[in-house]
Parts: sequence; structure tokens; C-alpha cells
Amino acid sequence: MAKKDWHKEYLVKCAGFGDPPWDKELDDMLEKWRKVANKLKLTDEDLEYIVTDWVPSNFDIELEGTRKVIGVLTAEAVDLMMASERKARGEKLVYGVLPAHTPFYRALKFTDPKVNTYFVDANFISFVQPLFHKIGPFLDFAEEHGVRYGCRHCALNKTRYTLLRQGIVPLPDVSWIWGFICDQAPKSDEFIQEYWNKDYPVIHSRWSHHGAAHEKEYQNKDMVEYLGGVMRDGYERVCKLLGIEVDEGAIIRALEERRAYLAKYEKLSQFMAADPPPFSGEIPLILAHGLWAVFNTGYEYYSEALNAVLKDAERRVAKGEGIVPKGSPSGMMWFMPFCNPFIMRMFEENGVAIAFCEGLLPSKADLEPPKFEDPFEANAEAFLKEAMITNWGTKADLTVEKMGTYDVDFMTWGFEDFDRWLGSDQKLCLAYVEKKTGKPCFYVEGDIWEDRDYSQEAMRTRVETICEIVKARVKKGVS
Amino acid sequence: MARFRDEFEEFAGLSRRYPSEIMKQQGEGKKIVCYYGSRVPVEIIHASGALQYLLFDGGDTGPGEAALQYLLPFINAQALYQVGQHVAGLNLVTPIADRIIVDCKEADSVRVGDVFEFLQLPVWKLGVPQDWDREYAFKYYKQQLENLKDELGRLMGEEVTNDRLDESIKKYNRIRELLSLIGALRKQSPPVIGGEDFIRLNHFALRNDADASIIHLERIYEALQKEESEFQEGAPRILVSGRGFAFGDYTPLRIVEECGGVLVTELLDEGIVQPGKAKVGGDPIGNIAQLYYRDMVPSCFFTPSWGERWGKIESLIEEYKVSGMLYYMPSFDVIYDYEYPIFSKRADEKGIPFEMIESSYNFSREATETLRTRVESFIKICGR
Repeated sequence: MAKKDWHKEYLVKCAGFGDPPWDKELDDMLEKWRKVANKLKLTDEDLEYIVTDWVPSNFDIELEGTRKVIGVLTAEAVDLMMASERKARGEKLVYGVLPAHTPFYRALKFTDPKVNTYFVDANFISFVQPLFHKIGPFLDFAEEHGVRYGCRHCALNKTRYTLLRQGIVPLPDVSWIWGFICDQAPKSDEFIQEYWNKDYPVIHSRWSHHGAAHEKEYQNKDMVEYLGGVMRDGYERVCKLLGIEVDEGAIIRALEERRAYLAKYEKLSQFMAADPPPFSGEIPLILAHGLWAVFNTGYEYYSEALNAVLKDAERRVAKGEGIVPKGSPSGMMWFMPFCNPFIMRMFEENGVAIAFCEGLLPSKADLEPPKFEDPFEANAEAFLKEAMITNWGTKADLTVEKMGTYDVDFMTWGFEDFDRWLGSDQKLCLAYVEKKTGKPCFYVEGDIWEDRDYSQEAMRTRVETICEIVKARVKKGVS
Repeated sequence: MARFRDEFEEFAGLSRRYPSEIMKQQGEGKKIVCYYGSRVPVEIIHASGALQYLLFDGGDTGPGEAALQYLLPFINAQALYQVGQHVAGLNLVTPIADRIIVDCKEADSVRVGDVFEFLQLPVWKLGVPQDWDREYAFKYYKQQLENLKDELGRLMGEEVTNDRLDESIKKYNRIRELLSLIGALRKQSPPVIGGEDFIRLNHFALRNDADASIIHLERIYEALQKEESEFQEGAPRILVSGRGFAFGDYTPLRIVEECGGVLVTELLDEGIVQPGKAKVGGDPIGNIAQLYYRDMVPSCFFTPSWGERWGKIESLIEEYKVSGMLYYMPSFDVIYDYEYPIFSKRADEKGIPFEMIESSYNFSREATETLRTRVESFIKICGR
């Protein structure tokens, strides 16, 4: 019997490259993929395990949409691993960090197609951990080279450092670091430069979180104008470094592209509110990822994956099929540990669905057109609407709103104990939301990106406890 | 040393009584304004007529635990302490504060403000953009200070005038000048004052009435001119850097000096009166913004800052003939945890012995003696 080509098997069975229209790209993708797998030291044995066990255990790859979602992550990772070749050809590389408002990076690409935009850490970790469970060595390397394990630094920043230092991805032509969320991301680039003694252009754009609790910062003219100015300054400096013109038309085009994707994405949210939800919430989460992390491969793969997922969802909802039996409780999580998908499976095995990732779920305000006309201010306005950037009170208000919109039974925070911004107000939000909604709310210590510090069995005990409480509290009528 | 020690203790006593004094004055109709973070200019609070009270306590483990119901365990130990101290009922001032001004240059301090907001305390957040090398950021910070001035004017029912701001600037310039003069006495070998006493003097000045601070610091400076050093000739001369020592967090400083070292200079961000001088006259808020945002050594949280901060350390090493460098930070203080390996590497390149102490304010007997062993070894290396 001929030996199976597990690389091809992966692309076809797990990553949607056996399905039209991506099947036409299979040969080309396979050639690139082999180089990537070699670079990442993924052996035939690894691939066999991934194709026959890990991926089928954690993802519903019977569905074309799920395969294509995996394909989106794979295609971007392949593209990222080709960054050195692109640089050698004289193309420009711009790096950013999660979460950013993507239109600016897209606009750079619209202005000059030879500009490549990568969110190195987020896109790499979102590929290598959920699909291969192999981020550990990359984090270990960073911890052996100056980033202390004991201080609980963010896995994203450690990953970026390792990828650069090991030469897996080259140094960028410019790193445009958005410190609009946390302190760590922008200081990580400064750390890499100072500690490793590497000089590459870094543009810092930052925001001091000073909104009062429950203030709608996107309605605060001073804040929007200021943040718009910060974005403009950053964008202009990036363009100057790349030697391209500032084209506001390209920014508007990118904003429209994002809004169009968002509108289509909203349909998926409606399907996810079905009883039972058609599939696990990490599928919509990954599809929302592209709204916050730039993909050099653009929205093309994304849109095709979203179309396939919408078809799957429609079919399943029509048949009353889903991730859990009808009548089961369905909840929302601020941010799912999608890089450790086995945690999500634990909920489902216990008869509870996690249908929504609240942190990435568009709010009512998100779907409204901008009030500010200047493209930078319009972007700032859009960004200030987000739960990720706004003050704790508005973040909690958004949770209350979304829980109502999608009529979920419970809410879970956590898995971001490393994140001194996104994770650090969650206990306040929990107390507020539980009081406002009267629905059960939970907090789970953990990490969305990695699982080195949390035993699966300890996690299982916590998840089982949550599921028992939820099932006891929520009794749905089964038709 | 008698006269210096007497003056020191008198100033210490006044500072210890400061909380009860301001609480008494609040009972007589005055307002208390607490503040957290080094970029909240005390001059503006002082000029408003409010009683200022800096939040920066620490030094024991208990309060931090009380904060965990609201915050992550991986928030820095200093921020946890501020919240826990209030939650556990150990801070007598925060529950009655008329305003709590929080410097928002870092996520952890914002979260301190958030918990206080959640607990219905009267928080006012000061935006401090971290991209300090940009003109727009400076303008925004200045505007934030204007907003703070207006907010305090509303609180006090009276406009904060430029004349009053200038008066406050003069007073705090004098405090900065006196502490700089006292600190510079440590250029002598052996110095007439060590690091523990110097940090404590900073704390007394930060938690005191400005006029009283000036009087006492002048007396102390004068007394020190006639003092003889208590330190041994040739004692290793240590520079300390990091976030800073909280009010009550003196054990590490004491251990260094008990082990034969002397702390001669520092680059600390919090819990210390930053050197510098604001211009008087013209636009007082602009002058204050210039001092706090541009003239002071950039905060660890500013981007970029480590090149400039290390440059400052290099000049201190030369100026104070430093023989070893200590880095002190609260546990889980993530940005300082990035800075220390950079400084450690740079210190190695200069041949300066370097030691980092991370503290969760656990100074139990076991923890203290373990720390003492490390510090003893470090001081011995510095003395070679």
C-alpha cells in the first residue's frame, strides 16, 4: 500500500483545499506548505496525528465551512512563512499587533500591493496552537532569552520575539505597534530592540485609557479627535517610511470592505442564536479574527469561508441540528480559549454550548455608520466603540446588551489572566453584569493562547462545575 | 548625628500625623484630594486649596490579598495593595476623599481607579499619553491638566488662578530643590545620609503640608552640613532603580545598608519627589506640563523610554561613583520586568554588578533572611 502523503491529507481533509474553488490551488499550496512544515519542524508523524486525531477531535471537519475556517488560518500562516522570500524580492513588510483596527493596514496594501501586512504573533499562534498544539517551544525560547516565565507575560509578545529572534520571520520594514489596548505590546517591540540590540523602525501609537465608567467614549469629541490624530500621525509616518503616499480614499475603501464583511458576519451571529447553536462558538470567533488582525491574504479566503459556514449554519438550523441537544443551555464567553479547543469540547461534552465570543461580537453601535467624517476620526470612533478598548463600565454594558440581543443563558469571563488590560477588569464586569441580568456569570482562571500552566483535568473539573450550575439554573422547554 | 536625627524624627512625626490632620481639617470644611501616580501634578491640587494625599502605601502582604475579589492576581503588587488597603478598611483617607485623581499612564493604575469607581468612590482619571515624544501627546496632556484644574475649581467652588498656581509651583520647586541638594550630599564618600533616610525624607515631603516640608527640609539640609557619616569608608555605593519604594516599604533599603552598602542615588518612578524645576510665570499649566511630561525622566511606560532612562543611569553612575546597581520592583510588574533585563545587560557591559529584587511585600522572617543572604552576596561583589 502506498504511503499516505499526510501533508496533502492535511490540506484536503482539514483545511478545505480539496473543496472548490480552493482545490484548484491545491498543488501550489502543497508545495508552499511542505516548505512551511519543514520550517516549523512538523514531521510526517505530527501530520498523521493531526489529521487522524487532533483536528477531528477538536473541529467538526465534516463541515465544509469548518474546513475552510482552518484553511483561512493555514493560508495566512503559509503566507507569513514566505515573508522572508517577499523581503528578498524587495517587497515591504509591515507588522502590527492584535487587536488593531484593520482598515489602515489594508489601506497600505491597497495603496501599494507590494506592501505586505502581517500580525505575526496573533496569526501564527492562532494557527500553530489550535491546529497543532505546538506553541510551547516558542514560548520556552522567549523565556530562555530575557522574558521571564515568572512574571506571566503575554504569549503573543513572547511568540513575536521568538519568531523574529529565530529568524522564522524577518525583521520588518516597519512595525506599527498599537498600544491602544495594553502597555505590553508596544513595550515588547522596545524590549526586542533594546535587549536583542536589533534596530528596525517602530512606530508607536498609544492611548491612555481615561474614560469614566459607563462613558460612551466614541461620543466624546475630544477623545475621538485625539485618537483620530494619533492614528493619522502613525499612518503618515508608516507611509513615509514605506515611501508611499497617504491615500485617504484607500482608507475609506478599507473601511467599507470591513463594514461589508461585518454586515455579512452579523448573519452568522443570528444563526448562532438558534437552539441549538449550529456549531461551537470558536468558528465565528475565528471568522471575526480578521476584523482585528490583518491577514496579508486579505478577505478573499475569509469571505469564502464565511459563505461556506453560513451555508452549513443555515442547513443545520433548518434541521434543528447543532453542537448540543436542543434545549441545552447556551452561553457567551468574553473570549474563548480557542487556541486550546479541548476546553470548548469539555463544555459541549457536558451538554452546554458556548455560542458567542462576546469580545469580538459586534454591538448595535458597531453596526451604525460613523458620525465623524474624517477617515481617521471615523476609525477612531469605530475603535472606541469596542469592548476591548473602552472603560470597564461600558464594557459591562455591552455585555448586558449582547446577552439580551442573543438571549444567552449565562456568561463566562476569564482565560486572560495574563492580560493586564483585557483581563484585569473582568471581575468587576462579572459583578456588574450578574446583578444587572440576574443570569449566572462565571470567571475561569486561564490563558486563551497556551495551556502549559493549566492541567486539562483541573480545567475539566471547573468546566463540569459550571455546566452543572448552568443546567440547574436553566431549564428550557424542549419542543 | 543628633541634630539631623532629631530633625528627621520631627519631620517623620509630622508626616505620620498628616492623615489625621487632614481628616480634622476636612471636618472643618476643607476638601481632601487623593492622587495616585507620578504624573498627577501636586501643584494643581495644592493651588486649588484642597488637601493633597498621595496614595502609595505598601510593605506588607495582607492588603493585596483583599484586592483579589476585584483584580487579577497578576496585577502588580503595588496596585493590588492600593485597592486591598481600601477594601480591607486599612486606609482611613480613601473612604472620605472628595476626589481621587488617577494617573492613567499604565493599565494597572487605571484598574486601581476602576475598582474605586466600582466601589462608588469619586474618581477622576487623568489621561497621560505614553507616546511622549509626539507634540500632539504633549498638547493632550496639557489639556488634561487644564481639565483637572477646572475639575478642582468646581470641587472647591473657586477658580484655580494662575497666581495661585505660580505660588504652588514656587513651593514645590523649593521642595524639589531641597531634596536634590540633600540627595547630592551622597556624592561624598562616605555620605552623611544614606538611601533609606533619603527615601523616607521624600515620603515625608510627599505626605505633608508644602510649607511644613520646606521648613523641615531646610533644617535637615542645614543639619546635614555639620554631620559626620555613619557609613564606613569605602562602603559599596549602590544605585537603585525601578518603580519605587512605597510608604512603609523600607525593609529592602534597610537590609542593603545593614549589609554594608550605601544607597547613593536612584532612578525611581513613584513614591519619590522627581527632580526638576517648573518655570514660574506665563502659562503655569503649560509650565507644569513641561516639567511633568518632558523634563522629568520618562516613565518606564512611555514609548520609547529605555534608551533615555539608561542614559540617565549612566550619568548617575559617573556622578555618584556607583559600584553596584539594584533593581527593585513589585511582583508581576510586567513593564518593569521588561526593563530590568535590559538594564542588567547594560550594567554587565559596563562591568557594574547588578541585582534584582522582586517584592510582593512579603517581609516575613524567612523571606527577609533569604533576601539578606542575596543582598550580602551582592554587596560583597560590589565591594571587590
